[in-house]
Amino acid sequence: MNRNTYKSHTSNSEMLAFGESKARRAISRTAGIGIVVLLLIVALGGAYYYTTTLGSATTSSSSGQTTTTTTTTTPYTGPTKITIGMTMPLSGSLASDGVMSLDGLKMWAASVNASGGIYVKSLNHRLPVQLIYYDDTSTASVVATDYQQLVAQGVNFLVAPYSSGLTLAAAPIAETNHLLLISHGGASDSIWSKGYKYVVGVLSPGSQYAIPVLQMLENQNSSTPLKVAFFFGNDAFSISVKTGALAFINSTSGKFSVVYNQLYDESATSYTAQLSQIQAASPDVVIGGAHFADGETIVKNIQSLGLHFKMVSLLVAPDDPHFLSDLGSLANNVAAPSQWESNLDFTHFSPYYGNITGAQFLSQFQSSFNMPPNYEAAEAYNTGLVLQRAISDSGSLNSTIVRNQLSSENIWTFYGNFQIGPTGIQSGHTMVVMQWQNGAKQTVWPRAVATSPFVYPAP
Amino acid sequence: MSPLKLTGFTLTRRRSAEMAVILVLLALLLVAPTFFARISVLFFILNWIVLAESFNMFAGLTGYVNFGHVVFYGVGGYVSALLMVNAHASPYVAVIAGGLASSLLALGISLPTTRLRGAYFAIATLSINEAFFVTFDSWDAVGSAPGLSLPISYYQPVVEYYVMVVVAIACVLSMYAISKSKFGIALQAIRQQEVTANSIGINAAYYKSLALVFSGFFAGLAGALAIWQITFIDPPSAFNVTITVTSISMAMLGGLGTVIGPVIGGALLYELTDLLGLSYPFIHLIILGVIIVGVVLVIPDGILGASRRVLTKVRGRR
Amino acid sequence: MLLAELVVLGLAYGLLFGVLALGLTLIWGVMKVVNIAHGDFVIVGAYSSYWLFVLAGVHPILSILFTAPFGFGLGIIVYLGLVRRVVHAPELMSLFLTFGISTLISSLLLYIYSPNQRAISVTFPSINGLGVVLPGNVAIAAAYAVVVATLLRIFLTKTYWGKAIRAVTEDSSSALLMGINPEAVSMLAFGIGVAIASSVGSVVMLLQAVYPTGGSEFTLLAFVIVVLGGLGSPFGALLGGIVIGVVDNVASLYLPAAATPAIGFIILVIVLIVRPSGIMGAKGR
Repeated sequence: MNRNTYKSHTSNSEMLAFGESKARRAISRTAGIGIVVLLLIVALGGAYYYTTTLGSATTSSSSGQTTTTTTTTTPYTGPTKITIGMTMPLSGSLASDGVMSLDGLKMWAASVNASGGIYVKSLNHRLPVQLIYYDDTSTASVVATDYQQLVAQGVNFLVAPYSSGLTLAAAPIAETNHLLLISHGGASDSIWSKGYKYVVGVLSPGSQYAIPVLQMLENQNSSTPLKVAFFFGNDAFSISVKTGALAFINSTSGKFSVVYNQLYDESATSYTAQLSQIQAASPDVVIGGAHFADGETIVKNIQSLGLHFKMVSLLVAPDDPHFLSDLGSLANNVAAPSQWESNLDFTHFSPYYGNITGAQFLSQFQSSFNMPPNYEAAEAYNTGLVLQRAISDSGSLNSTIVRNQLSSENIWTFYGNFQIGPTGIQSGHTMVVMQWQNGAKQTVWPRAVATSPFVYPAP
Repeated sequence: MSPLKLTGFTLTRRRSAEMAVILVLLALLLVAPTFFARISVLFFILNWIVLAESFNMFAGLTGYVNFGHVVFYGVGGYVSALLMVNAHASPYVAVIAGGLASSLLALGISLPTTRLRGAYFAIATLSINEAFFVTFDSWDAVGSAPGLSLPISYYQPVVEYYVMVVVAIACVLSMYAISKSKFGIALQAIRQQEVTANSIGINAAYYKSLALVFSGFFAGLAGALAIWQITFIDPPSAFNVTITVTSISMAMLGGLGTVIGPVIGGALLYELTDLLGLSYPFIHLIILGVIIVGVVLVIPDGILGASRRVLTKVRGRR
Repeated sequence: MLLAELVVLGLAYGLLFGVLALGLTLIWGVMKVVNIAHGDFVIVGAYSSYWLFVLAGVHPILSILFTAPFGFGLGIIVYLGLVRRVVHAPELMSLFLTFGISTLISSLLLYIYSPNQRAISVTFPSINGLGVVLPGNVAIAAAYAVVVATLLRIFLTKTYWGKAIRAVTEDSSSALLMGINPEAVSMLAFGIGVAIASSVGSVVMLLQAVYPTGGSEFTLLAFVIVVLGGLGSPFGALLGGIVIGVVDNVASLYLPAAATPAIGFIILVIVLIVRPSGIMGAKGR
């Protein structure tokens, strides 16, 4: 090939079209532009279709601000349902959590609608609830576009996606559109440090997770400072748990000494190297974890290396019912901080809201979805209950009014206490500690709600 | 070498029709925020177009697959996020800094990797991306795993959209200019026969580096703009290999190596994913997989190539 | 002593990684197809073993007798139905196609089996020797890897079809001249590649929990190993696997645990700068 050959190629605007005639090139260019136009029309049209058809379901008063003027004498022209919009990670890395959360909300919506809906005083009507949900594929950019879609559809309230990162991507859209965003699966404290007014949490923030475990150990009256190994996963949630735990240890002055403190890669196939190092530091207890698969791997590795600790407490994994079916007897004596256990009973607290106890939630979920619920489903169901309570109490579908109502709520549900601080962060709910004992899940702390004494040190 | 070679530009009837279409499209883009509520959808269509076109700017012209394309997107996003979070910089400054940082990174990456051929280049760039991912994931100064979140005051969807429009136009025009320039000719020579190109005095490594710098600049701008819009960045969202693979798919779908192909592919694949995701939250990925496989089997030469084939056939029959 | 233990552990994992990469390098060598769906075939194998264990009580090691032939059949079907069309197309085409196949497999698994992570509890006693403890399950995985690598070596060096695969890998046009049917060789190589991936899935089930979209991690790992060792070289793949396995485990002694995964990638980039065709790669390819 010589230089001239190259030169003759360059006059082509489309480089794949080497050696084609000018006419062909013109055709392809026209075709290209034609396709772009067609495409934009389809895209705009499709999006317009979505914003109008789905949006029309919520009718005229999308933001709910006009609802207070409705009178009872004229025929009812207000909204016919309460729409609650959300995205959930139904695929991608967070899919198992997302599906579980969505199931919890679906169950709540079904039970509300079976009882005739929520009475909205300002409208003098009972309205059913409708969930509008999309799959965000565990991706922040999809969260951003889909929450705008939900806003465009005129939903009344928003529920956050599962996980702190995705919640942070949804928050600015909720905030700028003055829509309430309830977070059920975002535990990182940073969500509530940005100055958002419309973001409210139902679960204890990450910094509180490890504290009951440490309090429980403090209560075991061990003489020397208890040697603790921190072995958490490297993600926003686990890091906030560790930060909270370290702050607590500093406040107890000398009761604990941290002999190992490392974050681990959650996608690793084995933790034997790190566990050997932990063993070398000879801790009494190991506190750590992050999510499900890594937690199981850690427990398996501890067994296969023949290590023994007085206690192993992991985040998330042991709380999942699959932990027992996957690991069998290896599950025994492993502990976990837990937001909720089905055997907890809060009915003697008042005001108790929602016609459901933990045991009932367990059995109803089991019969609806043919699998046991985990805490994510409970959190999501509780999100529905809290929203329901605030709508009933304020008698409004206006997000600003309902948000202000939430500030003054102090209620108990099957999930425990709900009460929020000025930033919207959860302050009423408290954590418990669960432990697998002989193939059964037991609540071991706080003592007031314990179903079995804490097995310590592990045999 | 003149960047924009517009010699021989005559206003034929076809030309003027094309110009009219382009002007209408531009006008539509400019007024879209006034009647279209999901402005972020348009934003991300353009964002993906820039990602696909900037991938094309290197891969389409040189024939080398940069499997670490998203590293530019991620670094651009991180640099601009750090400037906005820590230095409270103006978003415009932050976005440009993001682009520049990525082009600098592209230069750095190109030095050791332009010697590598074919799949070795692809996997080396992929590895660099993964190394960045892990490093950012455990580096506290850049927020490590919890990531960075912009103050709400930066969130201005409409402004972000217009900046995105400008960047997208600049990116497509640059691709057009490059492909028309002598620089573009040299890249094609490399694509066709790298050894021969070297032997006739084309410094392949130099040209490839330069192409990667342009590619990195626009991908960096796209990343910086994306974080401005999403307001949140963490390593899994910044250095996600899926973004690279999706950019490749978009460029392939439209027509790799062409100016307009990635524009079509980007818009089509993004909008398809978006609408499928909204309509079928549980099976949209299955449908997407079927569509991708179908595209390869039915129109292996991309939309542009296929439409060219069909049109020539139709005209031939007349 | 910890160091010795980590080296042994890394060797064991490295052998398994190497065998995983063998499947990929075989496919690449014969038809220059970059199989992005490689890791998804691992997950298919893992799920098959999981259900065989849960529903019929079949031991994961025994289920290899099912997953390997099943993978072989699946590979041949995928090859004949899809991959065959892109063998002569540019590399990017096969990449795009296998990306589609990968999306399809993982999303089908997600839809059918839910996103829940699955694990089974089968444990083998640890092996103690010379002060080094090797977890039993990892030892079994390494044993599996040695068996597969040996069988493959015998196949490639002693049988007609094995030699044909090597011939096509080295020089496909000469192989064609010598009367080797490239179509049949490609089909065979793809079948064997998927069979390996799917049987590795059974072994993975012994080591960790799996979930439908977890395949991409295995694909990435296999890619890095294959390129590290040199594309198309089976021995290089094994060697690359061992290097990555050992380095990954030993690095955790000296680096913060969360940063160790970076080390494999950094080593790869360094090796490629020194040797642009990988450790065992042919020069000037």
